[in-house]
Amino acid sequence: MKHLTTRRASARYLLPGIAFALFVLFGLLLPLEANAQSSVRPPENATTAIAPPGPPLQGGVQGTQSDADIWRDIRRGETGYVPIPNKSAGLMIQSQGEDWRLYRNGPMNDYLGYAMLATIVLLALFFAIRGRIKVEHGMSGIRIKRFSTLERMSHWLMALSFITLGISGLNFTFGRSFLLPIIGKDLFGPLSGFLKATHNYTAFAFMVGLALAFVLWIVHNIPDRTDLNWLAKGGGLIGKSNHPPAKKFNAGQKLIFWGVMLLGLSVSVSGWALLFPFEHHLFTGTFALLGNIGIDVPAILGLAEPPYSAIQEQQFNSAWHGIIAVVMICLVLAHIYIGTIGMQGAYDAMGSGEVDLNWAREHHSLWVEEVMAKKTERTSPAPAE
Amino acid sequence: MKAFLLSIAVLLLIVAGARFGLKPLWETPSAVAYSTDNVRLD
Repeated sequence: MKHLTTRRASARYLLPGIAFALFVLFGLLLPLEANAQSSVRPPENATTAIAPPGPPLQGGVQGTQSDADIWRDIRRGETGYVPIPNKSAGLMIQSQGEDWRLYRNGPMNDYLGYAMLATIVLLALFFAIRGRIKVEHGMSGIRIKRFSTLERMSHWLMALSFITLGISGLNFTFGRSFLLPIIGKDLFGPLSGFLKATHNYTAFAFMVGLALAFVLWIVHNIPDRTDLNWLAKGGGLIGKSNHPPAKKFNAGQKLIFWGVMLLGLSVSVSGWALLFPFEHHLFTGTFALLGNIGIDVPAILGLAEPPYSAIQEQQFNSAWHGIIAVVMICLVLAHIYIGTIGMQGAYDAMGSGEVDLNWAREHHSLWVEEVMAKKTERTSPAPAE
Repeated sequence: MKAFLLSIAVLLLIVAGARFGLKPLWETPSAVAYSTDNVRLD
């Protein structure tokens, strides 16, 4: 009896159980049916994906696999799309920028600083050993014209603008390390802003002075045989009564002239590219030209292969501009030394424009002969006809 | 001295000229820089 009661109870729960199981089974099969319907081929003109405007997204419409992939690509310089005119804003991380920053704030600044210090030390040593180069025969009191007003004006235009550019430029490079701790942020900030503006606008005065000096003095600075003799004798800097003959400019002055002209041109061009950024690709072009004659500059210097992006070009320009400017500063320090305390009577050439005849005979004997010959030609009476 | 003073005058003239000519290009007033037209969307 008890057994019969149990079987009836089992039958009572069996039917709802089977019904529930069928319901669950139907539920499981339904998604498969829905998927099967979605595999029907859409018409040719159907829109299957909605993509945003602009270049294709990383990973296409499916997106990237993970955030790590996205950030890895961005870290490697992947450029995205920005809906503003400044398309360079699409580059979030430029790895070479960090390389440039480390190089600029590290070895570049160190070596440039050492170069200037070494120049000053060498000049001081030379002065201590050689002393001031004096006019051996003493000043004659007779003065002859060496440079015209226009020549001196162009020299001083170039000199004053270069000194202004040098001071303001050195502040960009060394100001934070040396000046900021002394004068404090409140003064350093506005001063640096003023110096930056001064640097930008004074650059044009330097370019004008450079161009004027080139036009005025190129004729006198073409190398010739007298320069070899002058160089062989060390310009008469060592020892006494050892002045090699020279024309209006001796070989040392010609070296200064061509150094200033070539370095000045280079610093002007790189400066121009910094003044008007993202418009020039000087390094890509220059490296390609050098590559054509077998000089692989990127391989030699361990740089990335060109072509370079606009921001990389700016970084190269910045480094090159600083290096060339400091080389020029070293050259000009030597020029200032020999033109002032290093040699008696030399400053008059750019001061009053007139030099002592004995000074001229000792340092520019061929030029003095030329001037005297012209003077005699002018003063001698015309032959009777 | 004359040449030196002349060079200062020419230097200042060039600097002033460059500033006058290039100021609109280099020193954009914030009112212009952040105007709707200047930051327009493509």
